Amino acid sequence: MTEEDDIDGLAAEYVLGSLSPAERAEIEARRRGDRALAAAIEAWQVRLGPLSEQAPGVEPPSHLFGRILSRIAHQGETERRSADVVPFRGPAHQRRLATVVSALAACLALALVWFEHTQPVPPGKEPSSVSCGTRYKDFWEQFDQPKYARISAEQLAGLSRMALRAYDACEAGDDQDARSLFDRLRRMQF
Amino acid sequence: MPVSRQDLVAALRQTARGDRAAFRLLYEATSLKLYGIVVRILGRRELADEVLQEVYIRVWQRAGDFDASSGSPITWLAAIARNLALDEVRRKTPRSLDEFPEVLQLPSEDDPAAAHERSEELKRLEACLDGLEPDKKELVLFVYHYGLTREEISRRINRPVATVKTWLRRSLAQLRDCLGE
Repeated sequence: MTEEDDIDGLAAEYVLGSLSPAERAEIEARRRGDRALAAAIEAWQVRLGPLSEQAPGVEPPSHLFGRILSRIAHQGETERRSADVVPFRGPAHQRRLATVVSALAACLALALVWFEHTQPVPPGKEPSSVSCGTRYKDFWEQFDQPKYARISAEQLAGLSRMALRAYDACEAGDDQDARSLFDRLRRMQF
Repeated sequence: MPVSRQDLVAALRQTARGDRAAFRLLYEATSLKLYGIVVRILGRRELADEVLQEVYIRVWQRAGDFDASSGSPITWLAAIARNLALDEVRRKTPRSLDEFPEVLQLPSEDDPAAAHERSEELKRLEACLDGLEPDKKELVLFVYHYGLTREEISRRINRPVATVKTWLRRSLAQLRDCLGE
């Protein structure tokens, strides 16, 4: 993705759905830090969104809503998107790609959800009073994009799992474990 | 179940406050449409079932993010459904071209029920799509509804990927200009 001058074209294809898995993952990684890209994506969602009205409806299975409700009830315990679930099928390069895409998608989905629901950390605030979502979000924000290019898919997946463990420990109230995991994550060299 | 845009906006606001009755109403009013979207992209019902669950869990978590001033509720919901379906389908090994129909099947514009449901925004967009060459219009619609990548389209129509990219970019730029931005 080198065409700096064609953010609009990329955003258009992202919303249309024609980008390859790698390009899609890259756009998702980039959009949070790139306001021009994020704005272009939103504009294309408004432009092309009405096409969804054309799609004929299909009746979902009757049990689905019950499952959704029960998952909501258990939310926070078991239903967080996790990078642990990586499909291992197909040739090696596809597995690698799947790993990268899954890990990035999981990280970004979580980071985005928590970013939306958390406030920036006020300066001087004690780390222990910072919400788990903010700590998780901060980790990924500090994990700059050039590093994504340097580390292997396996390393990224491992990193993602560890960050989720840290978040889970924090949410579970195990602050010592969470702090130790976040510290280890920050100290990692690639 | 016919529910007005205003009803959906209200249901989203109440869902954001944790109101499960409003969430149920939202599901009943929109799941037919959203399931149609994800089934079409994913092809397989069992995958679509999983993704639809994810969609509504996301809606439950993020209903408060919906901004009524920037678009319709159904467009917002459909964008969540399409994104999750596209993410899921991209995790899979490349799809066989046999999984896609030969022609795009959409409700006819002459169908009174379909005409009734079409928003002003869709009518404007359809008018702009009619300004594209017929094969480019078909291409854009096919990609949108089935989530094909450039590579998949390239194999389907037996043209180079670079050509497909050029066609898509030009068609999309033409649509943007036609919509007046």
